[in-house]
Amino acid sequence: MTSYKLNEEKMYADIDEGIAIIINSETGIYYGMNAFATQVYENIEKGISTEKILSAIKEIPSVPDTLEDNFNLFVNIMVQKGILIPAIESNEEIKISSNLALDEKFIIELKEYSDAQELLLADPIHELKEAENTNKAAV
Amino acid sequence: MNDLISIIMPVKNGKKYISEALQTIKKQNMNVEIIVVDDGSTDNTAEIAKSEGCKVLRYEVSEGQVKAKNKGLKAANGKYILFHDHDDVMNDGALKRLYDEISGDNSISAVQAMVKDYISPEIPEEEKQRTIIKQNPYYGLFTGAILIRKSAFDLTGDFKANVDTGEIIEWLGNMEKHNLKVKKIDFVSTNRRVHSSNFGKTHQKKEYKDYAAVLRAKIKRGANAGT
Repeated sequence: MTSYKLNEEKMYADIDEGIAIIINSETGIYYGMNAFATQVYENIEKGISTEKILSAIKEIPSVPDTLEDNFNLFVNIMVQKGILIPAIESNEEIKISSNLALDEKFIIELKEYSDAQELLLADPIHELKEAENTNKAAV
Repeated sequence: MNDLISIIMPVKNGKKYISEALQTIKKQNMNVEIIVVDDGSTDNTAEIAKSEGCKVLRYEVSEGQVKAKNKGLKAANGKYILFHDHDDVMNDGALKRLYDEISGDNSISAVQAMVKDYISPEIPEEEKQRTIIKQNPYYGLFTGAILIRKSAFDLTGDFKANVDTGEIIEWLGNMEKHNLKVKKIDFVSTNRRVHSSNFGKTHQKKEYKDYAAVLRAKIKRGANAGT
């Protein structure tokens, strides 16, 4: 079984309005997902094995033949981009909405954006090695 | 004499550093009005600012730095606007350099210089060793680095106050949308102070959450070209 978690050293993820945004704090590149990909990601990020997630999706009626390839591509890209890193498998419950999958036509979409790179990097959030209480005041 | 420049400084509990910041602005010897927007300080920030001859606006209860910027903007009389953090220091001659660039070219709506990080001297040595800052100058967002033609705000509107940080991303996007040109200038206008504060990882996560909200809205508007 293969499980992952968010690479929190480099990445910040936020999910709202059904859309996941992941920001690479080192490069300023960010990623956006569609609603179905966001749901898949939420399950992956919990440490649920990718095999179990894929099986759960395959149980939904009308699943397209291309689903498995798209799913694997989605996971592989996130690993390649350093978004996900290996994790111990968790026993969290899988949550996949068949209605959402059908509404989104099983499309698992991850887009990469570099248009705010300079801006994200130019507003520095200073870090401390091994400690957490020095920063640049925002006001 | 140069056209009036409004320097807007949002600040909350800034007594420790504000005097130094104001002094470096005064040393520019330019025609400026300094508008300090006191965002619910519980220290004597407002008194210090008044004693330095600044126009002081105040929120009794903190509303956040974005609303404070908007409040300052509404009160500004200058032809040009520059936002400046209360804890940073402007380099000698920087304001004139920015002004000369923008006033000499009507086609540009803003000029953007660079900032350089530095660790505030009073931070304990052990903490300095552990503090990670950018080693090289970088193009700054607002803090003394961008001089903006006030008329640009007639098109872009003010800053969206639904976030605490990241408002500049959306605002610069609006500049682009209206074909308002920002010219980059290769010099360091401001030194940006890194110092101990009560902002830690919690604040860092809040900043990223705000960025994510702005970016999500951008994606939704389809204003982005994905790859």
